[in-house]
Amino acid sequence: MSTSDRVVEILVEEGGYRALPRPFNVGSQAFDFTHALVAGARANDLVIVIELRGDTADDVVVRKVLALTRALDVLRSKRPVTAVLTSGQARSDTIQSISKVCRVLPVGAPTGPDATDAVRDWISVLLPLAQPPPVDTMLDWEAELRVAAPPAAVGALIDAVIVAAPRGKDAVEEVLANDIGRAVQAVLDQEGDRQ
Amino acid sequence: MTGPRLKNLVIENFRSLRGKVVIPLDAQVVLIHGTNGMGKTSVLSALELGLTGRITHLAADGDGYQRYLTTLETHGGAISLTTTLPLSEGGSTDGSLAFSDQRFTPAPLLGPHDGRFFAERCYLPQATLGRLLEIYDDQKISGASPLTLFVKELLGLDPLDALVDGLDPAFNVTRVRRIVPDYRRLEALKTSLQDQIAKGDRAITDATSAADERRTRLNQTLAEIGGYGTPPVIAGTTDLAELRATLRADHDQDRRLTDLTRQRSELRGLLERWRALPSKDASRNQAGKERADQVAVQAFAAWRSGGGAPLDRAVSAVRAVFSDVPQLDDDPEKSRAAALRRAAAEEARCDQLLTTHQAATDRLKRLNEVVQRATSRIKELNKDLSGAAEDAKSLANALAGIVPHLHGEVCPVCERDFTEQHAGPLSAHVAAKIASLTSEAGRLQALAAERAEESGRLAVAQRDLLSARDGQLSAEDVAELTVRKAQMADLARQLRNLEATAGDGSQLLADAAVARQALILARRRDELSVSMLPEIEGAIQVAVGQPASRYADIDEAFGEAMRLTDARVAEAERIAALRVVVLSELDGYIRDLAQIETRRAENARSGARVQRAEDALKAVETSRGQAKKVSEAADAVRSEIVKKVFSTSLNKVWRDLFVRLAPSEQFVPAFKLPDDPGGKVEAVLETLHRSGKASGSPGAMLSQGNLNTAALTLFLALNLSVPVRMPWLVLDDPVQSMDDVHIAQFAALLRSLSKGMNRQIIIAVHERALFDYLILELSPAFVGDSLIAVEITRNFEGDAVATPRAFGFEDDRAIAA
Repeated sequence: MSTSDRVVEILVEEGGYRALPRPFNVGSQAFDFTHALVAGARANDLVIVIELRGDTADDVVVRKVLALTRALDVLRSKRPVTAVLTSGQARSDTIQSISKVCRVLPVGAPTGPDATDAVRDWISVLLPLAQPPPVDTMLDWEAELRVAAPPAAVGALIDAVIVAAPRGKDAVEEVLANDIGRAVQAVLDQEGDRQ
Repeated sequence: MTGPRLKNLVIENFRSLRGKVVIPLDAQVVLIHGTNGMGKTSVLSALELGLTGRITHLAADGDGYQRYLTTLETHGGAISLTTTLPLSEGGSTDGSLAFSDQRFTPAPLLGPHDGRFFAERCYLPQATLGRLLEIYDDQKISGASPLTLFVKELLGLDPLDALVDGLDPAFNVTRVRRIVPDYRRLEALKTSLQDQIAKGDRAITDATSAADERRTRLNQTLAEIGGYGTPPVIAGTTDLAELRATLRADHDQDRRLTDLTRQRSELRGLLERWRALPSKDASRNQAGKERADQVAVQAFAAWRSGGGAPLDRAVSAVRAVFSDVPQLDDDPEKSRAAALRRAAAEEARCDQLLTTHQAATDRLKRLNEVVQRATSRIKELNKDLSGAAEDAKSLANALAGIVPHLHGEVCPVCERDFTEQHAGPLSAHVAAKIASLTSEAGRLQALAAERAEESGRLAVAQRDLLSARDGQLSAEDVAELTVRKAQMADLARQLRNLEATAGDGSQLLADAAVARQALILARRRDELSVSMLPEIEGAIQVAVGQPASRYADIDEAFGEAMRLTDARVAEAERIAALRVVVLSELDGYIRDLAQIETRRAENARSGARVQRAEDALKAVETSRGQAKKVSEAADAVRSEIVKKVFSTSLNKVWRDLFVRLAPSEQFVPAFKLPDDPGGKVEAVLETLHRSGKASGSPGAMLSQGNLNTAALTLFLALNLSVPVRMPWLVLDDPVQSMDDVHIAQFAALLRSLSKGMNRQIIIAVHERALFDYLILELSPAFVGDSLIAVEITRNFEGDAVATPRAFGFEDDRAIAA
């Protein structure tokens, strides 16, 4: 599977993109790229995938992109265009030129076992964000503490310090001091009565 | 889009925004543009003030900023903010602030809790973006680095930190002492009590051995005393009080001692009396003494009738007058001396009376002469004076009164002419008469004086006469006294002569008395020795147990009896002394035992106290143990939470966001997790190569642009990681140092956030091109999408002007889909 195919696959499967026929028309003009996709859900992105092969002429690629964006401008389209360059290494002046008119993602041709991830990283900006589980739901420290506390630790002290903890270190220390002081004080008071 | 949106913001005279500007915010995305200094940041600050009533990143340095909110040369301003819906049911939909140089009256839309959330998680001022970068720079500081604190704060791990830190003293007894000063006292108490017990134990041991020694001594002494059948032996079970009572109640010994002592004193008394008896010589020659007595009596009688007769007569004569003179038989000499004394005294008395009588008689005679002479003289004088010469002086005075009336020779009295007399002139006659009269008066006066003198003398003599008569004796008296004087003188002379005789008599009388005394003494001794003997015999029998007759004589028997009695008394005394010793030792022993008992009880009490102290210390240990366990659990939970949050959430989201913005960056920033699960949570930053290999810190591995990107994405990652309390994201020019590629990606990310995450995004940018680009990129793509772009400028008067443009969805027909 070529990198461009991967890109298309990821965009279609994970981003809900829809592939455009080759060639596709902007107004009356027809444009032909390796792949062309439009965003389906709540976005109007136009993604063009360009494979840089051995026979690809960079200036042709640049021209084609400029022509596309010009055509969109003429039609007062507000679709943001993203050019994904795959396979070959793009020349930097090519990227420079293209990036003046659209977003450029020079993916290249990642290889190895993480190749798909690398491609996804490149095009992730085109993919919707996944809402992560909120931190707060993982932050029920009290429940976790009660679970984590060994049986030997269970007692009045743990309840007291859990209540005091949100008030800060000094409050916890005071609870501890009171707990220790109670036992001590009882004996000292008794001794005090004796004297 | 659900949830409340920020709707409208009205700002007046706030910082660089002079005048009143109205900024509509009711859109999915609000883009604010203004060149530097136009007040973009002021708009966002005003937004924060309207929501929270404070500017958080300024408030860290105090409230001083509140006085400088007003635009220069204006008199205060106001901020008013509204939302489409209340954030929560019953919440407010508008917030406001009125301020001037002196005044700051906030009425924020959000409560303090939500306000804090907004300030920390929803609003990224440029200052805070800078702070995030600082945190990267400081990450090498060991200990609680700002990053650690920041992360902990963001994660809300404070309670767990408080638990771990607050329970930390439980791990070290020194710190326990510090937080509970009484703990040290308890330890000291325990130590001192243990010392006390050890001391008490030693004292008990000492006292026990002392008591044992005393018991041994007691038993020895008891054995020595004996006398109780088998002598009592004190063992552990002996009833000491009873023994003591027995010993004390046993008076036999005392009685014996008393008896012996009495016996001895009786013997002594007898011996004394025996020795006091007159010597045997005194009773010898009784008959001789009788004879001597007879002889002496007779000798005295002979003297009495012989040489003593004249003395007897003389004394009797004296006694006839003076009956108190002792009789001759009592003591001749004494009698004689007394008689002589009385006779001599009587003689002297008579003599003196007679002498006095003679003197009085003589004096009487003389006085009578004086009286007689004085009487005669007075008679003479009286005759001299009888010529009525008393008148002489007054006549002279009268004549002297006439003298001035003498005129010539005619007498003024009788009118006769004096010349007829031929006796010189009348005045001379009168003067002579006067002179004669005057000298007569002087003589008379001398006579009168003499008569007075004589009369005085007469009176004195007469008075003396009377007293002189008292000293005179009657004739009978004179006769008797004269006789007696002679008589007494004679007796005295006789008595003087009889002195030797009287001495003899006295001697004889004394001899007779001596003889009589010797005789009487001899008679008495016989009587005494006869009466004492049986008593002595009895006493000696008692003392030596055999009759005195066994001994050679009484003295020897006495000696033996005394010796034996003394020995017995000494023995009895010794026993008595031993008993005293035993009793006192026994008391001591009882005291010792009681003391040992007391100390044991004391030690038992101390032991109980130590037990209590130890229990308390054990309880403290338990508390400490629990505290340690809780602390360790808290530490573990903290690590666990951090790990979980970092690995499953934060790092993932952060990476996702970072990669979107910097897809070509090979190094991705991440929180590094502590390897040691029990160790302290120390969040450090590192970078991971795309391959997953850990690499250096972001500061070392990332370009400045990507560092900025890392900070921005960290903020966004945290925003996404917490539950959406309010769907607002306010960013102040976050792209200042991003390159074009990043900016393009950032635009896409903003769109994703807005459309995918339902955030209302308000973003200020200073770059015009970026502003335009973002307008394009963020344009509404579907029905319901909205975008507002606000341009902040100033008019020529210097007032701020906000020019909003709203973009709605327009069907994009460029590509026939």
